[in-house]
Amino acid sequence: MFRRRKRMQDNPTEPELPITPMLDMSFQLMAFFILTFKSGPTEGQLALLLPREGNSTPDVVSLNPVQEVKHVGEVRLVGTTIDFTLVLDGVPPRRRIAVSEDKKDANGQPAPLVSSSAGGTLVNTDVMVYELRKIMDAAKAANADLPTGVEKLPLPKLEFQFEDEVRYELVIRFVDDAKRAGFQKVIPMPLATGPK
Amino acid sequence: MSGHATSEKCEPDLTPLLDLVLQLVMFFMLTANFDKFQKNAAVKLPKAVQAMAPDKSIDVQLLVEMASPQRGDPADPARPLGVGKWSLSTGSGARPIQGPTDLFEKLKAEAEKHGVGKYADPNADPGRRKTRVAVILRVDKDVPFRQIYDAMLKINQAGFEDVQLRAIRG
Repeated sequence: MFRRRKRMQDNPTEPELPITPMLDMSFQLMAFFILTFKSGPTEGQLALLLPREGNSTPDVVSLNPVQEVKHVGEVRLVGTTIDFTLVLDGVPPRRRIAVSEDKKDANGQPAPLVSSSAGGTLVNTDVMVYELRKIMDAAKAANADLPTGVEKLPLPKLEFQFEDEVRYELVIRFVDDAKRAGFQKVIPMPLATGPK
Repeated sequence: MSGHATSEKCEPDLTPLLDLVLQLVMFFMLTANFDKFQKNAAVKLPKAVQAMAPDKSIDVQLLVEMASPQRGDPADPARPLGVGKWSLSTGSGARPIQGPTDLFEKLKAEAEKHGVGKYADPNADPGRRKTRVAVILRVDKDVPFRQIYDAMLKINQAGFEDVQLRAIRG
């Protein structure tokens, strides 16, 4: 009693507010909310080449009709064309992917980018990315081998052919995979209605 | 005792509280991401790992949104069955699009306004940087490819070549 009165007389206008525990707790709370904070989904963008009207690009070698593919999971490389049959999400829808390019040979004909035939089993898009990356790496290596001063060859474009009812989610997945394989120019096209 | 209270003011120390508040303000300012468009929340975007941060060099963005046919309004007579709502935003608000032909008309008007492609000003100074106009497509993940292809053809016909697809990063 005496001590209290003494202190009030010494410094009568200073109320002691115990702010330290409050701050301790506030910092704890702040740390908790900052650590558990999850920002909203950020949107990104994928650049795309617009499709042209018509069935296919002129520099794509004609596709093998899908019906000729005997086994699901077959990969064909025919000239500049890859014919893939993909198994996605357990169902085997048939999709075709055509690789086109601007490269021309001495006669002005589209030069085959992949001259050797190759085969493999394609069970998921990772294999497709692997195959596409080989093509892109070959094109980049061919450019790197050119002597200095010679104009670089344009890098190959990739054309996907989708069936009409393919959902956008799958379209984006293919475009995403193509970018992953190094293709910057991707064109979405409807499935070519070639000879059956 | 009452004599003491009137002689001097009694103030709580606000500094630590302000410290804390400023920290919080700073945190939320840094984590906020702004978009100049009022985006359609009904459009559920697909995910893409390779999606890049929106390109800063794009001067004018034309946002085309295509909602899901499932999530759209089936009672709306303005659009045929199985087609979600389309809209075009140019920064001054979203306008509904009634289909590919309407999209073409509206985009053509924008192309003329911004001098895109064949509408470019022939007397423009060639050394000057051209205004980059891009069409941004925000498409719901359930929209069938045919509708997207139809829209893309119209975007191309309207004179645009710069097209970006929106996707969730990650």
